[in-house]
Amino acid sequence: MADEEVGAGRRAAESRRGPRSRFQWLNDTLLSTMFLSPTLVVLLFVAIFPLIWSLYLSFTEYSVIRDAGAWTSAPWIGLRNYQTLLRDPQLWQRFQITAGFVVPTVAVEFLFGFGIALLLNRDFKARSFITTVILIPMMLSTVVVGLFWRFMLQTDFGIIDYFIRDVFGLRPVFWLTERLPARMALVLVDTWQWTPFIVLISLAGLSAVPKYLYEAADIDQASAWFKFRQITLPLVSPLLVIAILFRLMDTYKLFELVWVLTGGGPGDSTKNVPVYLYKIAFGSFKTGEASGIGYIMLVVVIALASLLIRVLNQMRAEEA
Amino acid sequence: MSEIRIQDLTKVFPNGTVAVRNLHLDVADGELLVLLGPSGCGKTTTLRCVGGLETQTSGDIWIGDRVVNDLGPGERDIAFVFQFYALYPHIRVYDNIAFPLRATGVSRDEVDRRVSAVAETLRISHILRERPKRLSSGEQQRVALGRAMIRRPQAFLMDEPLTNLDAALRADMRIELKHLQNELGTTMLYVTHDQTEAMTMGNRVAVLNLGVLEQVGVPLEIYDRPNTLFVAGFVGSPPMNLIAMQLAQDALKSEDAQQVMLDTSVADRIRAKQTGRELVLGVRAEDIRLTSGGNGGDLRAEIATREPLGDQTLYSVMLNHQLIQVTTASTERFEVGETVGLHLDRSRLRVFDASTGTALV
Amino acid sequence: MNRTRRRRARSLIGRILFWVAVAMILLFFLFPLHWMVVTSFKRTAEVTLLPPTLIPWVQFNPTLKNYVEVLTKMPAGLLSAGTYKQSGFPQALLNSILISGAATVIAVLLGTVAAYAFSRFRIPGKGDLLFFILSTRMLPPVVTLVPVFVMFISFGWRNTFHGITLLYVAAGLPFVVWMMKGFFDEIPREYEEAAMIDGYSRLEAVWKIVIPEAIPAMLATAVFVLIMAWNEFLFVQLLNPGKFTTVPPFLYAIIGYGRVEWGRMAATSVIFLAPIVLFTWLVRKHLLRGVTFGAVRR
Repeated sequence: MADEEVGAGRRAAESRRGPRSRFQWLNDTLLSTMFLSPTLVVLLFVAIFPLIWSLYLSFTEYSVIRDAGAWTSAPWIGLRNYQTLLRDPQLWQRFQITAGFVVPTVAVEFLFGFGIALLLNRDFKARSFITTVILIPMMLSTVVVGLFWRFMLQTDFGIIDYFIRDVFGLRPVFWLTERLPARMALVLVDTWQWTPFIVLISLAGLSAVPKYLYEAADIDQASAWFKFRQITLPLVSPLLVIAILFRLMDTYKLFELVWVLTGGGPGDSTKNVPVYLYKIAFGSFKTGEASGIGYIMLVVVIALASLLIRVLNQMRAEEA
Repeated sequence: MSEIRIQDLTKVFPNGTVAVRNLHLDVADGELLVLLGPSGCGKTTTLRCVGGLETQTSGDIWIGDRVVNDLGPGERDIAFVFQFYALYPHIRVYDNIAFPLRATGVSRDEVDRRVSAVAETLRISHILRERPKRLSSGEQQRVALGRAMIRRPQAFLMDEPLTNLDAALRADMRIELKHLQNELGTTMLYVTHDQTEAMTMGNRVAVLNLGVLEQVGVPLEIYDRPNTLFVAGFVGSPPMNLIAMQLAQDALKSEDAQQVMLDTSVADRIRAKQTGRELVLGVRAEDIRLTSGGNGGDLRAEIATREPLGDQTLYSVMLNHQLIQVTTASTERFEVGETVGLHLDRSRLRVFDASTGTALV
Repeated sequence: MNRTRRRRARSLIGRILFWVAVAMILLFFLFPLHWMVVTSFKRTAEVTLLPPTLIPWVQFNPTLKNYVEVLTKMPAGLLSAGTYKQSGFPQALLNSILISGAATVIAVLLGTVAAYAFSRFRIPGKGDLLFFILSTRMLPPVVTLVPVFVMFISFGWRNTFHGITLLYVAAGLPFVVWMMKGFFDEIPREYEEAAMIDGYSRLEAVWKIVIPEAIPAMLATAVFVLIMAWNEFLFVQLLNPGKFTTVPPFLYAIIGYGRVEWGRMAATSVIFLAPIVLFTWLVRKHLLRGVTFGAVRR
């Protein structure tokens, strides 16, 4: 009697379990391995392995042209590459040029972008349309952008100089053929393309500031400056810092715009570190040395990246 | 004199919503008037119009002896306490409270004196050096109150200040706020959707629904003699029982033909004022007495559920497919399923016209 | 009443100034695009004409000549340096589509399941793994350029379809993982747990319940990966200069030599950029997440 009941109970339970479930044997551990492996394998192989290989190469005098493929027998020279590089005034000059581009560009983008965000941070009819449209430049291919600006910046027939020369009556600017204007051209084009990035992030921060804070300030007859300094700035600054850090990292590693707009010229005036690296690696084919430059570049990136991660984590902690 | 007078206030939002419709309301000098109603009833919009944070579509607002329609929020001599406190995030509590004074050029010693006095009244002297981020919600709310109090405005406008506090804290703050208002004697216009808050705090309560003022009066009056169906159903916990009835001779007849006898004079008054045949009888849970057995009472029903509440017991009885709430002393006991008789306290009944919703008797 | 009138006058001036500012900003950011489109419809002689003509039909006669030539007559011959002999613009465009498309599909599939694992499962060293994956975004591409080049030569992956596609997959994976992990974190795990209590296996629960929820996010993520692969220049011009090249290096190559046909360049650019504009519009609600690599969410 008891056995029958148990049996019936079990059958009832089984039929209640409903859908015939397959893959029960794939427990979470197995699944997580399955899900993660392809990604990790690809990343390890195509991203990490080359990095480590590059580190190895930086300790050799390898040249991909001369020794092609025979990288195992590349002459080991230990830290000599780094010694040469760190003492090379050329390299330091490249870093200077890079900084001379990164700092003004990010500063201009920040001021311009934040200003635009402040302007757009209100309710008006075309708001979502306008904010989307403004963001198009940063999604475009840098190569195409660079090439087309090259067209626009031509001194003889470019439309920019037309306005400068014929409409405003100033002296023509030799954008791509003189040293200072070339650098300004880079700042101009990068600003055009990436200010929207700052606008986007600033707007996100600004719209998250609760309106009632401003209303309380109105009731207390606070000045516009007070509202900006004590309400807007403190609440938006984490996002602003993130935006600036992102832009610093991106302009630091900028290659395509420089390559396409000025090619590093005129002369060496716009040859920043990435372009310099490229020319050493595929112009002079000093593969080992180029790898070394790459690693020196990494130091700066790592510093910036850790800062960024720290700000991100702090922001997340505060939200919780 | 710091009374608030709202005259014929209407607010229509750009998307067409009519938030407030022809509102007439006066707040006497030194009174705490509560604006009570469900969300969307227009109470917050009204408050914001009085404060100058919204501009009304039409109508006038008087604070004290002047019309404030054209004045900005900072010029109306009012203080606003927000639901989310709205403390300036990166300056210390002391500076948050002192801030409104600094705008008017008060001397530093005077500022210090007044901030300390306010802090002491609100018992927040020990957190003057902290930043708002590190305070509990109760403390933040007190700081917001302090910032409001410091200017000694003509009126306080409060937008659901206690809604974000947990229940125990809310109860404490209610008492404190009431106490404070008594001491300061300032006029207060207070918005809430919580009727317990409204009934315990307000000198008078104004009930709003869908932008319209349903009734205004002292709490007891709102509770005992609701003027509209909405107020009857909104105020009171459990809400007033509302039973569909029709008038026949001198009795109210329910759907299942049970009868509640009335005084002839009462029945005549109903007959004179009713606009249709359908009526609604309103009777509160505590005004119904239960007796065993179905006979002897005005109505007969069956016990559906029984909830002991400690000092009382709450029964729902099934009358004609409708659940009626009845509270009795905990000493009386009836079983679920038992048929009982309902005895209604005649002096506490209200009868409403079903189509207009207004009280007839 | 005076105060109201003054206030209204002031707000009118404010509004006018606002719209003037907005117009100037729009002009700044959109003029180059307008100019590009306009140039693409001009005859060669008109392109360099001064004063520049801005409005089609009113100031000049638009022509489709550039587009026709670009799509039919732009094979080698126009370009020196024999490596481009085998490709023309249509070929390059096709390559762009295929390579970007394939890389996107693979990256999104692999990355999404990995993101799910990161979101739901306990994984030893999860935080470090995720950090490592995020850090690849910060890496200057030039740093890996050299070893990847050596690697590609050693494996014979240069000038192939699969080589560059695999590279793009690797470039897109960190992005997909971070974006999709963020999305998965926002889907309550109770959904799968309810299904599993009802007898479904984890895999089935994911397939039947979670994935359908995640599809919009996957599509948005796919668009971003697509745009990244579509725009890429540095690696593909080095690794695939032959018949599997994509549009960006192709475009660069036709500029470098002698007299530049700006009209044709403009037409090529318009064709190449049009899909991006469309895609940007499609994912406009996800732009903040996308460009910060999923790190910032609102």
